[in-house]
Amino acid sequence: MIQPKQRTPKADRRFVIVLIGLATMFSVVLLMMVCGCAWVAGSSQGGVWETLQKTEIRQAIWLSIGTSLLSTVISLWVGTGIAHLVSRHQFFGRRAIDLLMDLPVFLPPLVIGMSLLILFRQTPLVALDDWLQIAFEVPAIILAQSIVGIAFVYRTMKATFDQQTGRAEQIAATLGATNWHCFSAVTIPASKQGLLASAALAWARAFGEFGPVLVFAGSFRGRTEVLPVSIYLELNSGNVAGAATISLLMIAIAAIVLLLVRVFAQDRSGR
Amino acid sequence: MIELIDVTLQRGEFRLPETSLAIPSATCGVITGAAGAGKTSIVEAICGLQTICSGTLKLRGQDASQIAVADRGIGYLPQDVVLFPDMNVERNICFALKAQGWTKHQMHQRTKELAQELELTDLLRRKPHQLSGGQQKRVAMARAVAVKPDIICLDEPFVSLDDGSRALIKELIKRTLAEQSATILVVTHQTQWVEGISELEFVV
Repeated sequence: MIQPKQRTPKADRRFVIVLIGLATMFSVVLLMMVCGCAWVAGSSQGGVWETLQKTEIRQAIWLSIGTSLLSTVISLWVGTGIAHLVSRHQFFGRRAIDLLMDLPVFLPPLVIGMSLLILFRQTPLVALDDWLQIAFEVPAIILAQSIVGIAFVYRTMKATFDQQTGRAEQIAATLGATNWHCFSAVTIPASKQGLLASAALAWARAFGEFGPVLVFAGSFRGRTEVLPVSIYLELNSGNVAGAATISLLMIAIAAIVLLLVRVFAQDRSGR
Repeated sequence: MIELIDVTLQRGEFRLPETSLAIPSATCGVITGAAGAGKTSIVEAICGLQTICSGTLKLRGQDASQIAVADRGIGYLPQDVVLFPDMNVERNICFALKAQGWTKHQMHQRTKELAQELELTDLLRRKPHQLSGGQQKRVAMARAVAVKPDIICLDEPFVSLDDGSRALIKELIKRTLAEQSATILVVTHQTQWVEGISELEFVV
């Protein structure tokens, strides 16, 4: 009989030590990035507070929060709906839709912005744009943020729906529930964790969206200026400390949201 | 009335040979047979959860192939129970009532009635994961008969239950048969629990 080779605890320890080393290195880099921002922001002439008191920055804060929340809601509705369709139903073109939904994630952000701009300014949709005033206005920000958000929600929610057997929905149907009733009363409550993860991803992506917003909505101070655009404008005017202050603010907001999502998710899962 | 005429079913490798059965109104019929013989497949086909390959399935004298699952009006107790995990017992029982547009008062009355009959009164606020297997089955039974359907399909209603729970379910079947003149189809190995209730027995 062949005896299995005995592994030494030392070899196991080495493996874990390498992984701990990697985790520590990455954590240190992340922390140093944040500290670097804080240090540069603190060295500005008027300090962090004065930068945040500027009217255009305060407008950018509210515009960023408002548009990112709205685009998250849009992304959740559209992404979840399409994910349910592809996950639960068989129809012609299903695979094509599944493939297309990943496209915004793989496309360079500038290409998304450029494509949106061409769609609304160089095709017959220009009439719609002239009427609704989308390009270079606030709706352009929401649209640009939603395009990628929908793709993220779709991927997360499709994985969530694929994991479910669909049995509860079948039983709900035998009890006389319509498709809409099954979806809202059975499927959605059973997908809470997936929805929460999708919402967090979509919001984080929307909050930090820069390329498509810059190209499709422009960088008009006080009009289409969201926080990433503010950083870009501050850098362009040579105000590195101002850009660092806004970056720090974005890090703080993102950290608070991340923390809230974690607490909420743990609370929901009862752990 | 439930009528299967030369119905065949295919589920993966399993194929149900031509099967015919008929259960008239106000009658209880029992399907028995070896495990894997296709009893559950027959019930699921009646409920619309499986497509039949050939033959005819009639419900209340009508061809069921064109009737959507939600419109079949069948009270179904699945073998795997399948309670809605995010709803408490009361909301699980009320699910079909709500879908059928019953008023809040009517829902409350019916839930109270069923809860008393199946000894669930103290459990109405609990979630399914806080119930034992037997309690879950009684909730699923209450949910299946809540809207007083005229066709009821019960897939292994007596499995994994203590004798007390079995007696409660037997009594409910008996009363439903007498008061609602329902057509009841029971899939069970434990035929002793439907003695005196079922008039027809089919072996698959």
